[in-house]
Amino acid sequence: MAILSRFPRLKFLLNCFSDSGEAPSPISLLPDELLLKIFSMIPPADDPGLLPRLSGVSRHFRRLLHSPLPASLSLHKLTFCCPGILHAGVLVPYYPDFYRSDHEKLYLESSYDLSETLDTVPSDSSSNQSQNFTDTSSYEKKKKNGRRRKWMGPTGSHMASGNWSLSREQDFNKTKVWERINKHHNWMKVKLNCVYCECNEMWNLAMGGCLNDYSMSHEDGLLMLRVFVCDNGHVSGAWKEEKPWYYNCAGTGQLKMHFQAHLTIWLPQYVGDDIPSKPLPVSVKADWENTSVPVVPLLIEV
Amino acid sequence: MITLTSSDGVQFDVREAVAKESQIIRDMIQDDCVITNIPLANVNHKILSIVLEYCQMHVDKTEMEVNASKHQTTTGEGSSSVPVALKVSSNKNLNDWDKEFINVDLDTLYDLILAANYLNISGLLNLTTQAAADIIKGKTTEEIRATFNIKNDFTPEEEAAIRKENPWAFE
Repeated sequence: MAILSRFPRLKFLLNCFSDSGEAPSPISLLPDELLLKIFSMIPPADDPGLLPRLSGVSRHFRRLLHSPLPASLSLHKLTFCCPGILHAGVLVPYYPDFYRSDHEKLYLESSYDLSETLDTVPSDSSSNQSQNFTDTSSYEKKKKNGRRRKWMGPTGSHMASGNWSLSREQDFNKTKVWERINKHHNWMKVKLNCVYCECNEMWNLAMGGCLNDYSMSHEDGLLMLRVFVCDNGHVSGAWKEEKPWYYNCAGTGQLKMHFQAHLTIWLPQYVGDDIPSKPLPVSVKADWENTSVPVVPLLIEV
Repeated sequence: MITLTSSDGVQFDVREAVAKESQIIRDMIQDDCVITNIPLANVNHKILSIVLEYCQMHVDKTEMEVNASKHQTTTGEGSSSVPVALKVSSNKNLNDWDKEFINVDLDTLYDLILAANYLNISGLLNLTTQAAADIIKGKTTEEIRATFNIKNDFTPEEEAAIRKENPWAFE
């Protein structure tokens, strides 16, 4: 078999044959973009568990579904990862205008990706709290490695971290996000029941990103990622929308950093029989090495 | 008439409207008005004939609707309810025809997806990818592997880890 490593193409062709020795159906060998199109043609409500099952079919499918996905499939992924999105009835393509006040613009400082986050998550939550607003080790590390990256705020400042427990999400009210939304008393709350706890109001949070690399303003508007989060940090709905704003992109660098970053939403895992809707709040976006992470992050590619 | 030549050299004479169902051909014709022969290097004659059958059917249906609508306008009969009913009925028939049309084996479906993508025929691409999605829908991981003869290249440990990530999806 060692010789095969010298001929990757031959190895690939041999691997294309199934256990039964028959050639695989060419459908499974379609270009990735067409495979993703096929996967996205199934409404999540019809088969909410499809993506996790597909990612278990073969390494190729798994790699494909763990790569940045087109918007339609990201939404697909969201709808089965967030039970609340269907349960709470908030899945609307465009949010009503009366919610579009300036006050609701909260740009979450989510400038890190999964690998970085996992590197910096401390082992217990108490140590995390002391690091919340001061830890710049990640930035320093990157600086040492010669990679230029704009400092976007304290890493992990509003991430749940440490070993997951039933009470861990309640640390949300110690995070920077919670602090910011409480400083601004006009942040919008919506009357919706959390699907995980007894909260009957949700914070209406949004993250904005610039779609245009060059212009100072543009017609594409601002891509918004909107999330409903309760006081305990449970995410009961998240979706993307485009705002028809002519946004002044002066300072685009910062917004672009936001936009290119993954926004990581931490979803609580299934904790009992009282969660009303299926599917359960887990994500397919878990790395092999990190399956021990108790709360599985959902990465939304925007 | 426009002549389309398949990758294996077979020529098909089709009306311009039929050929224009393909975005790529539409662009070619717009760019150069005198074009009459278009070689299609990535589609063989078997698949091209199926693709053209689809295009022909959809063009015919559209023209039929337009003619019926014109006839309605010139004769001035009744209200607009008749053309709408005709359109609904026509769409229903077309959907039924599409369902029958796409009832093909996996290899042909694969070729049709590639051809629809290459020729940029959005209707056919949606129809074919939807057909492939319908085959996948509701199947277990093992059934998907069996349907498409895909080798399970995970180790048992990896497979167990995947199931552990989302146990509800595998129930």
